[in-house]
Amino acid sequence: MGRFARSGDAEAFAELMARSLPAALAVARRTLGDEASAEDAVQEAFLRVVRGRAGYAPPRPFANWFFTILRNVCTDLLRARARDERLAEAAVERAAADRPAAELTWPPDAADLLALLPAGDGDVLALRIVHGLSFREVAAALGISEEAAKKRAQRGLRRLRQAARLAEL
Amino acid sequence: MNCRQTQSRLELHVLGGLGPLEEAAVREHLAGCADCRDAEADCRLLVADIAAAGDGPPPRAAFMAALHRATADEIRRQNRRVWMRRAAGGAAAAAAAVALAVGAWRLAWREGTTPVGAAAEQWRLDGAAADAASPADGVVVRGGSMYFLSRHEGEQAAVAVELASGRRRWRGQGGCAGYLSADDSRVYCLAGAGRGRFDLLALDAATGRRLWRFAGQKETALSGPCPAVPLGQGRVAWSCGGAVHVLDAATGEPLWRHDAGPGGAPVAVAGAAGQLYLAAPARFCCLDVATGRTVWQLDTPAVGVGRRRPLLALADGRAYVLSAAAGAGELWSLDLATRRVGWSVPAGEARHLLATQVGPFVRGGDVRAYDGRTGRLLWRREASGCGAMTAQGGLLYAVDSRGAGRLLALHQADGEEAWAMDGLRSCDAFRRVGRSGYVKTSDGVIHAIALRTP
Repeated sequence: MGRFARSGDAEAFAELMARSLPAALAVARRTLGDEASAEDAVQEAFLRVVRGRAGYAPPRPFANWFFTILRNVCTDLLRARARDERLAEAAVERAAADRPAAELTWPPDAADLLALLPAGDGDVLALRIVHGLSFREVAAALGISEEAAKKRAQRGLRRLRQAARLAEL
Repeated sequence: MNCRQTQSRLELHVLGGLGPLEEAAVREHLAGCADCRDAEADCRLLVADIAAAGDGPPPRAAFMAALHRATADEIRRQNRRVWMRRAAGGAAAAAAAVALAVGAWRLAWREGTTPVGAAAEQWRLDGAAADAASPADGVVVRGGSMYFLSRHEGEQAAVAVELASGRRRWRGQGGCAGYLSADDSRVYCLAGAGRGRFDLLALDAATGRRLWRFAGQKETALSGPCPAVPLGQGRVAWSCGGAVHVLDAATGEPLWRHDAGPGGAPVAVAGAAGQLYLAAPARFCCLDVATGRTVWQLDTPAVGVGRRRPLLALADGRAYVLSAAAGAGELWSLDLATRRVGWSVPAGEARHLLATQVGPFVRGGDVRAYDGRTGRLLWRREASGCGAMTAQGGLLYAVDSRGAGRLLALHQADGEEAWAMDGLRSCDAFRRVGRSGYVKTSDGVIHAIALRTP
């Protein structure tokens, strides 16, 4: 990111984008609920990074900065959507609240593993395990503290372990 | 650390979330406890399962292409701004300012024509919207008027000026988002309606008064909305949200609509001789403008990858369609009389398509001309830039944005340079009307230039 911030090097930015894109789409998809809105949000977030590169402070990890921007974009989209639908409060609550956990059965299809968890726990595990974000980056992406991210990860993984043990009995 | 304490930390241990002291204690316990090592192994297996399960579909190729294009455009634009700021106090800026203030550009003729030496500026106007690579900001010339999008104190509005003098005729109400088009009586522009929706506005071409507003659906094209297409016969077509609407141009009343693309895929439209042609993914339709009835349609090579709008141009009894996928566009021709696909060729990156009797011209990082009958590449010319091409009198006009910028007038048949104008940077099209040329430069200034050219 430092290279891009200093010189506007397009290749450096393409590398950054390639690294962050899958996780960014995952975050936006989980926040906004549909693929099209997620793509719009991710594109807008990357454009804001380009426009705001002068404001980037080099020691700061790029992912933290980027995911904070992405979260703001998603929040803006949710607010706009909610405002237009006159459902602002409900939408914010929907976005913030954990979805109820599905009933645990074992073994699930691999793709359904995280769907067994409350959304907050599943989101943290997906970003940490599938996308390889650090807990600090996960926290920035989801707008929670690093401690909360760890707590959710621990809770989610423990829940899956318990379910696996129960299934083996 | 005992087994219970270790077990309670296993999840964060395998996820790398423990602090150094706790991590060291857990490792020490695991080294001497087989039960806890088994539990740790189970936990790692579970994490491996989650990793293998993935997290949703991979990014779509079409989206990635659009994303790379959008960010690359933005990077170029930002870098230009930085460059301009740096140059503001320097010699480069001084030289550019002199060139513009004098209102003369250096002209270069092709051998065999009469050299004139300079092109005099007839008038200039400041304050036109000029976002790089934005399709919203295009200037429209119709009859004796020019229409453009102006930004003033944060408000955008359509502005009309007399083509001959540059004198302002009117400024429309605010809220216009650009994408202007015009017929003899009306100027059309889009207005944002929230949630990705746009409405179509019609303004009186004589006064700028708003005539009607038509509410559109959410736009589905990654490349954004597109302008309305006046069709004659008192009708105007607008492709929006995967549907084509044909409206009464006088009242804005919807006359008919055609849902063209599966899943709301964006479509391109063009009108000619009482018919509306429509390029949709894997389908090309000819519709009767008066009734909306499908006159004929045929399956075609897939166009409009994902949510990118295809490009469509008509000329000399042929339709040319270009799928707008970045780096992988396909250009094909269709004979409108026989209703058959004539040829198709890979066309690479493409931003603009124009057709004349010679054939189609494609602009991406360069300008390419194809033979309309065979699809053979006639010529290719380096001319990077974001502006649309225009054609008149056997010449093709395009602005090359490299260096200080250069307006090129090329012979359509062979790509040879008829004349060129140096020191001109623009992301809009150059328009020639008689012996005058009109162009909006990247700084939002519209120039009317007297051309003593061939």
